[in-house]
Formats: sequence, C-alpha cells, structure tokens
Amino acid sequence: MPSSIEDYVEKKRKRLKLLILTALFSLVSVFWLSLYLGSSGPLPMWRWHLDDPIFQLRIYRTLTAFFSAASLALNGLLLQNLLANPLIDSSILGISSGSTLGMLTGYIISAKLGLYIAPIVSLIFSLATMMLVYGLSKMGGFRILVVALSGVMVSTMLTSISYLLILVNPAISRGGVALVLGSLGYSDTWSVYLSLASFSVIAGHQMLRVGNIRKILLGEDLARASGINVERIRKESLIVSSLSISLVTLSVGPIGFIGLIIPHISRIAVGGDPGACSITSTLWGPVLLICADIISRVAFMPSELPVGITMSIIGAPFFLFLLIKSMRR
Amino acid sequence: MPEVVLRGSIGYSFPLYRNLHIELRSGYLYCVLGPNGSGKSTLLKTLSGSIPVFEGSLEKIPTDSASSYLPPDPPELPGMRGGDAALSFLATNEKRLLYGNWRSEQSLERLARYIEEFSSPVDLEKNFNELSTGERMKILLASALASEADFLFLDEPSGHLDVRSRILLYRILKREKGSRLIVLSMHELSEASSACDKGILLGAGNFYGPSDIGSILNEDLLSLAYGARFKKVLIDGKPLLVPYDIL
Repeated sequence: MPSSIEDYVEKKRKRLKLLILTALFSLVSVFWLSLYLGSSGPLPMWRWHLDDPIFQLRIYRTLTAFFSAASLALNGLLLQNLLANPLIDSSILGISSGSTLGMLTGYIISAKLGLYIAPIVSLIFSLATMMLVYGLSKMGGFRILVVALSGVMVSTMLTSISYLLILVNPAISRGGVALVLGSLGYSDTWSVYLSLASFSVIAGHQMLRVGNIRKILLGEDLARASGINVERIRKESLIVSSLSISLVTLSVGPIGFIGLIIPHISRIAVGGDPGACSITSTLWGPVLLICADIISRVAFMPSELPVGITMSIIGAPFFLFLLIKSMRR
Repeated sequence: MPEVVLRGSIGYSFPLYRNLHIELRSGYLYCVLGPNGSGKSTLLKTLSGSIPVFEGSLEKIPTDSASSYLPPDPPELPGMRGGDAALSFLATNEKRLLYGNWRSEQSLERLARYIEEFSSPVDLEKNFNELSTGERMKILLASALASEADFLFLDEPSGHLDVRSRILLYRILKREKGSRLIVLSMHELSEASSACDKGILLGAGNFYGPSDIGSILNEDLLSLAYGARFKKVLIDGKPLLVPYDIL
C-alpha cells in the first residue's frame, strides 16, 4: 500500500532531522580530527590555543575548508537546479578554471601596476566564463551531456592557459601549481574571510530565492504563469554564482567535484527539494572536503598533496558513474 | 468569480491570431480544440501569463490570484521523489527553506485528498523520473488541483492518461469549475463534447469561439479546421464525433 502524502511529509521531516543531526555530529568529528592531525604529526590537545603557530594554521585551514566547501556545494546545487542538469558544478562548467586564470592574470597585472586588482580580474573572468558556457549550453539546447561536455572542454582549455602562465612566470603566486589544482595549504586569515564572503553571498541568495528556484525547477512555463520573471532570476543567479565562485577560488583555488557529489547525495537522501538540499549540502560539503584534506595531509607525511588532487581522484569516478547513469536513461 | 479577458493578438514572434476579444469566466469548463501547431498551447500560455500578449491586454479578476499552467508533458526532475514533486507544486513562491509549516495543513489535506482520489496508487517514495509519464502527470494534476490557483490552464492533461483516469479527471474538473476558471486543450472531440461546456476551435487560420460546445462541434467547422470529415453520432443527446475516413 503506497503511503499517503501526509505520511510522506512526516517521514521526510523525521529523515531530515536525523540527517541534520548526523551531519552535525560528523562535522564536529572531522573538525576535531582536522585540528588534531596534519602533515607535521598529531597535535596534542594541551597545545590547542591560538598562540601555537601549528594550531593557528590548522584552525585557519579548517575554517577555510568549512566555508569554501559549503559555498562550493551550494553553488553546485544552484547551477544544477538552474540548468536542470545533474552532471555539472562550478569546476565541470569551467567557472572555477576561469576564476583561477583571472586570478593569475590579476597577479601579473597587479605586479606590473603596483596595484592589487586580482579579485576584480578574477570576477571578470568568472563572469565571462559563465556567459561563454551559458551561451554554449543555449546553443546546445541545454541538453545534459552537451552542457557538461562543453563545460569540461572550456575548463581544460582555461586550466592549460593557467599552467602556461605559471610556467612563464614562476614567481606569479606563492601557491604556484598547487593553486591551480586547488589547495588548502596556504590558508590564512584572508582565506577564511574570502571563503566566508563566498559562502555568505551564495547562502543569502539561496535563502531569498529558494521559492522561485523551486518553481523554475518544475518548469519555466509554470514558473512564468505563477508570476516569476524567469529570465531575471536566472541572470541574477548566474551573476551571484560567478561572484561567489570567484571569491572561493581566490581563497582556495579551483577545488572540484564537491558541487557535483554533495547535491547529488543530498537529493537522494532528502527527496530533491532545493530548500532541504541546500541545508544538507551546507553541512555535508564541509565534511567531505575536510575528510579529503585530512587524507591529503597524512597520506604522504611529512609532505602533503593539494586537496584538489584528492578531490579529483574521488570525484572523477563519481562523474563517470553519473554520466553512465544518464546515458542509460 | 475568477474571470479573464484577453484583447488583441497572440503569438510568439509573429501574431498567430489577431483582434481577439475573449472573455472566459468560471462556471463553465472550457476546452481549446484544433490540429497540431494551430496555437492551442500559445493561447493557453498567453491566458496564463506565461508568455506576454503579443499586442493587446490581459485582464484577470481577481488580479492578485495565482495562475497555474501545466504543460502537456511532465518535466524531467532528476533526483526528485514523487512526493516532493507534488509538494513543490503546492509551495507558491514562498521563501521558506523547508516543508512542513510553509503551507497550511489545510492545503496538505487537500493534496492528500486529490492524490487519494485521482493519483493513487502512485508510489510517492519513488523517483519522479522513474514513474511512467501518465503517473507523473497524475501527480502534477493532483497538486495543480490542490493548489490555491484560481486559474488553471491545463495543456492536454488527458494525453497520457488511461480511460479511468480521464473519467476521474473530468469529474473533478466539473466539480471545480464553479469556483475557479479552468481551460484545457485536448484532441479527443468526443470527450470535449461530453465533459466541457464551452469550446474554442482553432485551425486553418480561423479562431472560433468561445461558444457552446455543441455549436463548436459542428461537422462543417471541424472539417474546415482539421481537414478531415467527421460523422456525428448522438448518445444520450450528446453528440460524439467519429472521424469519417477511419470507418
């Protein structure tokens, strides 16, 4: 006997409560682990105060990971809902690579001008990439595979240009190649602020627009009939997302696949509503990234991997799995 | 009493029909008939406000009431469960992040009633995309009916439904037509004849109606619009139309 909608809502409420509680518990656990473990070995708890340089680094790093992962997950969720495409996130669409290229270009121009304008250049590149990918998607009729593939190609191209810039100007940034791969190894107070700003922008947008996005997801004609200016919401969302992605890229570089994996798991777990998914994404994104970062730090102690590599090793097979699933349909 | 008045031309990039003056009001069940590509969807979308009037005006009374337009094919909602699809529909453009208290318990009860009456036994826990097209349509129709929209524009709602579901749908629509304005498009002339009160017939560049369904379902008008001959058979005083050339 199929359950009634009232049972469904009740079950869903319980499920969501349980999911949020376990997510909070896991988050506290990985947060603790991330402070305790690291490439310089375990840090005993009596040294846990802000004067301790290692503890300080780990606090910055973990906070940066928290905000940037929450932001990346929310951006992935928004892009997926907006383009009705489960195969994309900021890295697959190439927005992250665009921001990275913009950031590196910005460093070079800043050094020449003696004026720090990297954030602005990064934002411009991020917006330009968003427009390019959106234009390509429109030409491809927003077909799921066309959008994903054109994004991957744009991303590959922009990443290659970034590498080229670093090869030509080795002193371009303190992170060098690690920054093009995405890394938490250079986290400082600024990374925390930047990722917090990125998270606030996208989370605020999500809070204000979740009702509209819910309707657009059901169908554009339906959304328009209920009085939503679909074009305006879409444009606004893409601009907000570009801004948020460029901020998070300035903080940690282009870390991929969080925005792909987390919304996907969220949808399966909570049923697909954009509102509920945004809550679980905000909590699970950080759990995944902090875990990946712990692995990156302890796997090859005392040296560490850029977390972008670990995420790609986890994320690329996941993308393939989704790709095969969508081809079977 | 919900009412809509359309004056002017309709169309996307060029006017499909000009100098229209249509007044539709609740109390009647309206249907839009016509061959493929004659502009049935364009008319419904224009009336719902989903696309602008090409040239002219659209008035709705009451002005602040919501419209709902349901497309002929249910959307793809990857990763969404049937139950969530139904609930998303109910949520008007509210900003709440979560379900539960975002709508009165009353509208949830209404939804439960419509799903029970019309959509069961569809499994709400199942992924929306894994349900059959007809089942998906039934979920969306149930939530469109349970929503508080005073204007319902249903684009070929019966296209994917089995006979029993169609009977249920028309029964519900007949019950609802007093309190809200319902316009549907369809291809089944006999169903239009027995279920609807008024009709609009599009085809061959002509726009007939809205007028009584009996006068719209006239053999000459229909053969002009569809380019096919029909034979009228009376059953219980209601005309049923059979395409002549199949017989």
